[in-house]
Amino acid sequence: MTTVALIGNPNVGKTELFNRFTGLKQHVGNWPGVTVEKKVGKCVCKGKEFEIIDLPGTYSLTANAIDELIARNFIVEGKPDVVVDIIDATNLERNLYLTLLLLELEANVVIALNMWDIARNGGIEIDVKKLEELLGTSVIPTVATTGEGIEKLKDEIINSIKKERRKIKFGYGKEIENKIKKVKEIIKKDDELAKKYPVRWLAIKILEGDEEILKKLDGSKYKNEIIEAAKNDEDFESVLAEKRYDIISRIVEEVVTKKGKEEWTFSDMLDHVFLHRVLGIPIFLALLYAVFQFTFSFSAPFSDMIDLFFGWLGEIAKQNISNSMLASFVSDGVLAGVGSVLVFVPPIFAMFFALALLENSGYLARAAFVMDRLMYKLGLHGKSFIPMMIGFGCNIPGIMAARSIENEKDRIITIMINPLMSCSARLPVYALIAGVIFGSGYMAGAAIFSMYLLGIALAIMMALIFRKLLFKGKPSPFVLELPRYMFPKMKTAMLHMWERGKWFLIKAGTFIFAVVIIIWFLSNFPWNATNGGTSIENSYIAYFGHAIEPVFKPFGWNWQASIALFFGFLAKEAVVGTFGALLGSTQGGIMEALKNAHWFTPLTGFAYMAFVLIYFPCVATIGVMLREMKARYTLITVTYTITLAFIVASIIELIGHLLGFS
Amino acid sequence: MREEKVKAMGIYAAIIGLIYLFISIMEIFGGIYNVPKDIFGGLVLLVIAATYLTGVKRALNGECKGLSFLIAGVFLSSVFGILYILILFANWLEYLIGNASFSFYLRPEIWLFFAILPLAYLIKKEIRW
Ligand SMILES: Nc1nc2c(ncn2[C@@H]2O[C@H](COP(=O)(O)OP(=O)(O)O)[C@@H](O)[C@H]2O)c(=O)[nH]1
Ligand SMILES: [Mg+2]
Repeated sequence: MTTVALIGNPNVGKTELFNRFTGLKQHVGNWPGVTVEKKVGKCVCKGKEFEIIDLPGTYSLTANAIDELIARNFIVEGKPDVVVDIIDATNLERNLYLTLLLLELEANVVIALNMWDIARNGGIEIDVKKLEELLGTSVIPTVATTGEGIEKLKDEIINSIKKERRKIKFGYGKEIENKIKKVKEIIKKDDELAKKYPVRWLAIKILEGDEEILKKLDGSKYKNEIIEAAKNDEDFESVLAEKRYDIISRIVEEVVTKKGKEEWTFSDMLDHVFLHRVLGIPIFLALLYAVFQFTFSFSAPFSDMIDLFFGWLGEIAKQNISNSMLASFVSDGVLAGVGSVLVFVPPIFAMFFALALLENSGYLARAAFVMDRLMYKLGLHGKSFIPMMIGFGCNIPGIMAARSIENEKDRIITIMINPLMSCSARLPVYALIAGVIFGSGYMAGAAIFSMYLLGIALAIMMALIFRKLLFKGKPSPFVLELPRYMFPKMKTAMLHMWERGKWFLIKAGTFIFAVVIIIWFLSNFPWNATNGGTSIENSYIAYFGHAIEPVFKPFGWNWQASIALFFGFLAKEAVVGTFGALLGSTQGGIMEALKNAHWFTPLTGFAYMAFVLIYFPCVATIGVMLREMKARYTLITVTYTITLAFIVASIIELIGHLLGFS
Repeated sequence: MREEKVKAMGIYAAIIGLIYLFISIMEIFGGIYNVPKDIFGGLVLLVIAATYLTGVKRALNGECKGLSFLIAGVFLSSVFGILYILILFANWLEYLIGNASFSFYLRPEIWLFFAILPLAYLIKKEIRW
């Protein structure tokens, strides 16, 4: 089968194009660094089957960051038949760098000149014929969002498989060329190497001292000879980079004409404020507050409807199932437990929707930028904030997003603090408990919002501690690409909401369902002793609950709350599921039931929320952490989160008591 | 763009900004007239007020840079205006399902949103994307 790889700088529309080709719905984000792993899809066009690979966005092909390495290895080792290099027509200067590297790699390159619509509207004229001539490849203008030019691109892909490409060598000047030639001659002696890699490219990489590539020489008997020949005391990498930029600026000068005078655009003006030294962070926090208001206040009636529905279903089940054990299982176990979690589908979907709007508008990248400045001052790596923001949805993609951080220390710190970002699975716990202890007024909203802020504050604090203790040194500086502002599209936002929210539904239907059944069993058996579930104090779960209760007693949490924390190890929304199954089905829904049970006072409830935020990354997150970093660091993460949870909950209760709360 | 126009927008923004500031203080402390206490909500209004007011001086000088703050202010006003309209709708739904009583309380954010619409229109006419 023919393989086609899509490559390009971050945020140029690769994924959008990938989705066009394959009909899949991968996440398209107006946000650099969304695709951190390669994704594969199939496409049949003109009767031929293609395998399409969406690579992570990269600026170059050096071996510095994991995502760049993934892209490079795929092209070097995977040898795709065609490499479609997607470049942003509005920014050739930056985008062509990767193109030159790909041509150097002698890949079979077809260029998609994307964002053609924006270039057109912005008065940027590009001489496509000339560009084709200078680069020796075909260049097709495309608009990935509307599909313009896609058919032509497909034709060109098919053509390029057959066609022998005109090779164009970009010379680096006599001195450098001589050195390249010298190394090349020796490499050619080793047939195996010469067959496996493009010789000129290999020679350049060796001269640059690329470690990954030097490792590839290990099997060769000419290794020492090659290294001897490549010996140089210049910084080849930067010398070559400079030369490449020279070449690019000459190309750009020839093909691009800009019409109209430079003036301040809307986008410049917005950035002037959103990135403002003083106003930047307050505006970010204000918009975050809007997201949470939308999440909780707007979704409330929809949650209540679901709550009422499950309460009603439970009553019906109770009345119509004659076998009392089965009736209890269905209404108090399954319906009450799963229902109590499903009640939180509306706020979770609302939050994903709101975040998607912010992301697609281009604002979220600005927020990252603003927070970077603050974090860098604190000694944190700037790129950390993007994974942190993603962590609000779910910690797992947040941790994966850390792959775009080049420096290993920075990356590990970023991963270790990610569990402190309050993911959507914790939201049901906050919503339930805040509703119970503070009612529906603004206090509940403030309490929930403060959890998110607490998470950010603790994450920053822990990062500082890790920087001081584990990974000494300064964070490496970084440049964040700012995407352009766009009016967010309803359809894309809905798609995001579904893509991310569906995991919550799937978890509720499988994992939480299983947990709830276990809890029902434990809280109703031994059946005779509990008198059919009515005296829960005689059940197995009460036995376990009382066993761990002493640990949490000082915080004023009863055994039910303690056992819920235990199940919350698996997934945080299981805390709510546990409450649901323990309280059984009632007319007014879980909120009413918990209110009437008087398990929490405002103070103990608030401390409980903070505890749930911090105390343990869920098992799925632990799994990903083990994959992304050494086990040692995962162990540290587990330990510190548990410790920190106890400390923070104690401090909250202590201060609360001093202030006269109970 | 003509300087007088920028100045006119500056005056408009100054008035709007001061109203935001005033209401923000009422929300933060609460209990004045029947504006309910809402600390975070009040802080948000303070941020919006600051955004408008930062731009006023420059706009009054006829500088285009001052307009940036007005644009961002309009953006923020719209976000919160629309947000609270949606929440009003949600409260009404809540009332329909019999869960809560409903009072048609127009939060200041909502009518302030309508108050900035003329400014939004002027800006849209003057600036290209
Ligand atoms: N106007 C316009 N927007 C585009 C085009 N291609 C992609 N986009 C938008 O650019 C953003 C980045 O796209 P994405 O596919 O995620 O980029 P990737 O990071 O390269 O995968 C998204 O908001 C897209 O909707 C295009 O041709 N024209
Ligand atoms: Mg992508």
